[in-house]
Amino acid sequence: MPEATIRAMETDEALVRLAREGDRSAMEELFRRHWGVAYRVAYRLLGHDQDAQDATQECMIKAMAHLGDFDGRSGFRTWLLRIVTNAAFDAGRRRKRRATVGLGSAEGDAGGFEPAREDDPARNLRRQDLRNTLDTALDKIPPKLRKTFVLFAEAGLTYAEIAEVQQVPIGTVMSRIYNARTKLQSYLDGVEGL
Amino acid sequence: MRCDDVTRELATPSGDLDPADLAGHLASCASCAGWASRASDLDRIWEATRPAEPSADALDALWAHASAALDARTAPATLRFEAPGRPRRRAALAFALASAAAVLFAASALFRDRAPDAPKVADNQVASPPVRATAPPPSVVKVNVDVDQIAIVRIGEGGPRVEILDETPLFASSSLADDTPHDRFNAWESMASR
Repeated sequence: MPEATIRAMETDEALVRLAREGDRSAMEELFRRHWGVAYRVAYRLLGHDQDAQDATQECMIKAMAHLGDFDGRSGFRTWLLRIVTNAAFDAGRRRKRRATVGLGSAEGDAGGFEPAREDDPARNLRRQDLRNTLDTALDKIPPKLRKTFVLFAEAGLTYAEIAEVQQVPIGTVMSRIYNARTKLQSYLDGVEGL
Repeated sequence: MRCDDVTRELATPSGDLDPADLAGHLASCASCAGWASRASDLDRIWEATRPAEPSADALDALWAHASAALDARTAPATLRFEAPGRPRRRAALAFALASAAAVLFAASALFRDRAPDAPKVADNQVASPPVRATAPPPSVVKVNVDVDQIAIVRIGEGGPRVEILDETPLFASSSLADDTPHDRFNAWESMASR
């Protein structure tokens, strides 16, 4: 069985243990396994493809370089996403969210991953409009609510995992998700989906 | 069944409400049905705007970049001493130590001048054994300063007094600029653990 296949079957915890011992292929598997979710979370928080890619890559490198600091109390993904949310938020505070206007992503941001999902340009434009609308709505809600909602809706973390990331009780997490959703829904009321 | 309980269950499913009861309430309550409809719209928009994950080729490139960055981190950190700002810090340290030495030299000279003169001997008198001036014991001040600190030695009635200044405004900015990624990572971690 190829080594890559074996690696793909390992748990995160096993990979972390191997990576700490200097196993570069275990580190690579962790990197490949979690880059996508880290990027999606960063994107939802930053609202910009290139910024999200930069933040994600920076966080992944730092996380890999500091695996020794991972204490194992939470899962690796939870630990990583805590780093990503904090970093993305710091980056957002520094640069403020950029207005993603025009056809930037529809035409493909420089270095972006967004493939042309549709051949229909009108549909792509519509998707870009929705993305801008949602980014604007996300920008309006308080940071704590936004982080919580993104971890829930985009990363699929459980209430307990989000509570671990944010160091708050589970009840607070559920309350934040509810409030975030209610606010987002009111901002998006009347916007037609695809 | 209260409307608030229904919408909270829709936003953050807990399984506490019976699904049949929930459906019955939604069928009879226009307000909650509207809330549920807006929730579905948000979910559709969220899904439609989810950013694509990187392709396998893109991940290859990202890992190659990360791997090289990790290799660079593990290389001997001799460059640390050649980094911009270090010479300036060393100069500051040398200046601080030289200043302290100069002040101490001046202080000891001052004490020596104040020492009582030996008594004068008349020409026709038998010289008494020379009286050795009793100078105060030499003041030795050991100053331990770091590169970010400045030592100020004050000479007063009670003898020399050393004052250590941390992070003077002059060097504060360069200190921040020289923060290593490890420092910033630790700052994240401490922020996240708060």
